[in-house]
Amino acid sequence: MAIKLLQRLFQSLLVLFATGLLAFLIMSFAPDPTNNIAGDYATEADRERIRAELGYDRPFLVQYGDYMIKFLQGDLGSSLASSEPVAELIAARAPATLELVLVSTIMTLGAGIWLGIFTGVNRRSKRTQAILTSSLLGISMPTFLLGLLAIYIGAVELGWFPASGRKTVDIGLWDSSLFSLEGWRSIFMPALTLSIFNVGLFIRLVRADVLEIRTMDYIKFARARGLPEKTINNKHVLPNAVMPVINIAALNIGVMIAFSLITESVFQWPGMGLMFIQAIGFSDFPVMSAYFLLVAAIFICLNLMADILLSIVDPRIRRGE
Amino acid sequence: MKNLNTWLKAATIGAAITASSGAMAANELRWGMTGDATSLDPQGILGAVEVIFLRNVYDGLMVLDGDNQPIYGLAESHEVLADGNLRFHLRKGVKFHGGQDFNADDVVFTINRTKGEKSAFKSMVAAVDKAVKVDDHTVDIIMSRPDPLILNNLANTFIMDAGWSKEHGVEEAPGGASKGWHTENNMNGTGMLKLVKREPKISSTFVRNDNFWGDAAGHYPGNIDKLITTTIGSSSTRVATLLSGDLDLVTEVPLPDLDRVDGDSNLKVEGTAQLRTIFFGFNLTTDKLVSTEGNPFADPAVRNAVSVALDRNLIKKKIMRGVSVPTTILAYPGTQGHTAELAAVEKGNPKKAKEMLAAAGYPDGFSVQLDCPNNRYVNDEAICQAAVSMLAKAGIKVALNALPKDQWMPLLLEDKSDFYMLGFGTPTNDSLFTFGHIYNKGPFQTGYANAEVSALIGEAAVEADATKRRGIMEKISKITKDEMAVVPVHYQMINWGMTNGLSIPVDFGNMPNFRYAVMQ
Repeated sequence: MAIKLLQRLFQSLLVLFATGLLAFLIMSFAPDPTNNIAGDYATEADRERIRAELGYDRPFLVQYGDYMIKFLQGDLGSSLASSEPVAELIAARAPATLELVLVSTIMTLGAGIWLGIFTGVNRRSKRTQAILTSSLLGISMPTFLLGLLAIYIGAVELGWFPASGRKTVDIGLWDSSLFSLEGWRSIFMPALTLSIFNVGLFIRLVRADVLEIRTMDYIKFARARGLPEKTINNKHVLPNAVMPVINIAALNIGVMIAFSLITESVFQWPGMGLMFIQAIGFSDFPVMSAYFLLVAAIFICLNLMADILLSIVDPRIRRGE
Repeated sequence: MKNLNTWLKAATIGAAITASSGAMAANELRWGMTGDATSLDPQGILGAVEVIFLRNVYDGLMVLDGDNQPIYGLAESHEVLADGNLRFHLRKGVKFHGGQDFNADDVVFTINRTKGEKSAFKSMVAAVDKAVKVDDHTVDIIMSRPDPLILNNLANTFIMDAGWSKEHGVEEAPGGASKGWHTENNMNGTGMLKLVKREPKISSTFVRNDNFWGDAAGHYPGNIDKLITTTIGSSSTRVATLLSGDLDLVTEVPLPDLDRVDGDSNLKVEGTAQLRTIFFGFNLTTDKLVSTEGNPFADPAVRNAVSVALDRNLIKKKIMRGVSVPTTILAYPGTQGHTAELAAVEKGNPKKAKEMLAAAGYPDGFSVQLDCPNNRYVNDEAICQAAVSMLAKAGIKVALNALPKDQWMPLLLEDKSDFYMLGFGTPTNDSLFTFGHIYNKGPFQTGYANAEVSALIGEAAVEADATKRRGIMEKISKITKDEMAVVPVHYQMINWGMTNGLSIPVDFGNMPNFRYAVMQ
């Protein structure tokens, strides 16, 4: 078991290293950031000087070596656009993304499980048809369009929510949106937009589970014993249908962190996704590569955790069969 | 029950915090901008957004008024000495936001810093040899050559406190590639606004400087107490935020949204012609272009044919929705070198263009590639597409290569583009800057060479007599128009969307001067 775990850990490091290499390769094809740093009216001499200061005039292999050595030492560098150390920048932006993903996950689980069970229990009702159709719409609509639609309806027409930005209060450890009404108003629409796709997905997952479980023998026996339908649903169908979904939801958190960038840029939500989009616009290499590595690390951790959990649950995997 | 109580408590505290933070300062102006300033150093980056921040927080010896004319800033008066040097008498009792006194040492320090190798504002003091302290409140600016725009340029030379700069180790400008330079995100000026909070790429907050010298001098009508700038990259989100009442000013309203903003009962749109000319340029540095045989554009007749083939009014009507000012010269409206007669536009005439091409030796036309940005100027790619079909009618087959600005810009800087679209503005509010960059060995040097134009540019740079200088500038416009050194299309229009209660002069450089912002 320990050997297997070490093996997995080693593989994970290899993947992280490969990501770093890929990130660097992408940089070498990205546009030169010097023009953005120098400004519109800089002279050619200024550009040359800045390029030299940044080390972009050195041969490719030298740059790569330098980058890798610093990367291994844990030095992510400083943002070219704002001069802040990348680690600090990520630390400042992370709470926004994490809170967004947290609220969005709660919305997803709440709505997804409830509607999934409803549509599974009332298989043929008109409402079920309506829910399933609109969930399909939610799955197939691009996120940026959903976001703009939400802004148009929620902010411009109704005026209930701010159209963009994040309102926070300082709670000591970080600036949070979860402790004020203003904050909740600002987080509601981005979180909703981020969760719509997953709600659609979860409705279908839970519904499929519910339908399957309701054909199981123990449900039939419960019914035969004369238990009321409500008790059967609450005590027997629900817990069994929801368990596998919770696992998926946990894994899904990583996906949401990685792909919140569209939602964040539509709502100007100052999280890591927006940071990445802004970095691309500036060719801010240090920030871009750090983001790549971070996302890779999140996925590696989640997979590692899933593997470990699975091996605990399933003895066959533990024994390596 | 205990849980519920905790929640209630949390909710009450939350509501209380909301109430206190929700209370708006008396006159709070919330400005939504497209991109944030990259550096806040007074000599860090010569870019439009950077200069907006600097002009509102720092002052020069001169400052700009609402019409962009220089008026006395940190200087109270000045005199021209017998040898052509300038003596400035400094305003007394001025303090920096950090509490330091302003005096002649700060001026000498700043001039040196601005002249430094890493300064991006070198061009502002190119004609200045040095600054010499006479006494605490008198400084002589020693000129190495005459500069007719010296007062304008001094309005862009932002005075820093010498002691503060030494304390933070920023005696030199950062020069772009700095890491953690104190001045990148901190400001210590003498101006009306004081930076109190900075989150790069997200938001900055400024409050009014209670000891602002301009108040005593009765300089400015502006009455804002607080300015909050918010970066909103997506234009639809920016406009929606304005429409929903969370912004007071948006300086870049996209053309399709103009009616919607103007139609809102709480908002208005105000506009003016911008200091930015959109034009088509040619690579004249070589006789062998990449995308065609030889270099047809070397012949002024061919360049003129391109101009004749373009229907600028049609571009204005169909692509710019009427929001542009067609032109045939680079010089900006309201600056020397521009006259309505010179800028006059004729209807596109593909037949005549074809004849001109035939006379120049291209009866069957030729094919060439056009490099065009797709996210730099208003409707840039659409203008290029229109030009492609207009030129096709004259026999020039153009392959359009539309690129994001980060990929398109290097093509121009490295002379790798045969034929391109470019828009050019000026930080000096004068067209000579643009002439120098486009017609005479600037970074965007097109390869256009004309000894007479070069000589005239040299003359205009030192001519102090306004009438004579105007004549020289118009002559440059005339010659470069006859030879069509580049083919101008139009001036962009600036459209600002704002709340009805706000009045602020729409600046032709697209740079809001918040010292003139009045809120009701």
